[in-house]
Amino acid sequence: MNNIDNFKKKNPFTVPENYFEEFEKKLMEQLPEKTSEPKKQKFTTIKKVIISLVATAAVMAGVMFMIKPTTQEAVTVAEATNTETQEVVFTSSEDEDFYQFLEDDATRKEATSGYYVSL
Amino acid sequence: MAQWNETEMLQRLQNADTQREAFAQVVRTYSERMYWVVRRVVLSHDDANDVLQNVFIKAWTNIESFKGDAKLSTWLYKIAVNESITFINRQRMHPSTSIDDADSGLLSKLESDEYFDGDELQRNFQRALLTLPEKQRLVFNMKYFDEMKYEDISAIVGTSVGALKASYHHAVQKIRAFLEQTD
Repeated sequence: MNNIDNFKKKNPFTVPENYFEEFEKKLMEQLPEKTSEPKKQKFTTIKKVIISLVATAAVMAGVMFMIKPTTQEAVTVAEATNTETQEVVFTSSEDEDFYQFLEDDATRKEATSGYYVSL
Repeated sequence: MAQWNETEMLQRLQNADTQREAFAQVVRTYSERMYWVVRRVVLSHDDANDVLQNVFIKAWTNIESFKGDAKLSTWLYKIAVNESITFINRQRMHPSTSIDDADSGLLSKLESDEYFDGDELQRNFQRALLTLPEKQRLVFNMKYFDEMKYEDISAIVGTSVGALKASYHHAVQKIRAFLEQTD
């Protein structure tokens, strides 16, 4: 059978009886309650970490200028502090940021294409 | 498919008093559609059920990060696609599992799945689909089974329409070649 259109005609996958009705009920029962406080704390913590790192980097840069490094050394220090800050920012991102990214990405694509998923 | 005002739904989802009820409506509306996206990737019903739960739990956990800039359905599709691929990759990353073993594992799960009643031709078609790379299989599924527009698929998988058309074309060629070989 090389006409692949034929495989669309019958869906060989089945589901248990009333699966979708029961899925909604079971899922809603196991959804965790929402608490808004931890979210605020998380962002506050991330901000604190970033501010601390930037401050540390600034102090380190100041110290390096005071001891008058060579141009090559200065570049190396700047790169190192920059990399360190980026790593912390990326490791601090969590699911929430990822799914915000998914939405942003989808927005960009929708805006480019001018279409939406038809329901 | 239920019709709703996206703006109104977003407001209800962001309001603590109406959030849970609104989310139940989201699950009611999209669970079947998301199920088929997941099922066609992971193949067995039990795995699809687990992954689908993860999809909606992730959506619920991250609903505050959904600002309504994209369509809710597009956002859910992206989570479903991501969770399905993650599930498959996790199986493949198992130290004792090669890619071929993982694919044959999917196939053997399908063959023992009481919720699959395809004949030998259908099984062979699933074998052909498993020869495609994951993303290409996803694109093929969305185009072939769901008959989605390339523009909509592009918004979900983040690939240009041109590349998607080429991917689908190559997928069809590979499937035909596989079926001819095994005919």
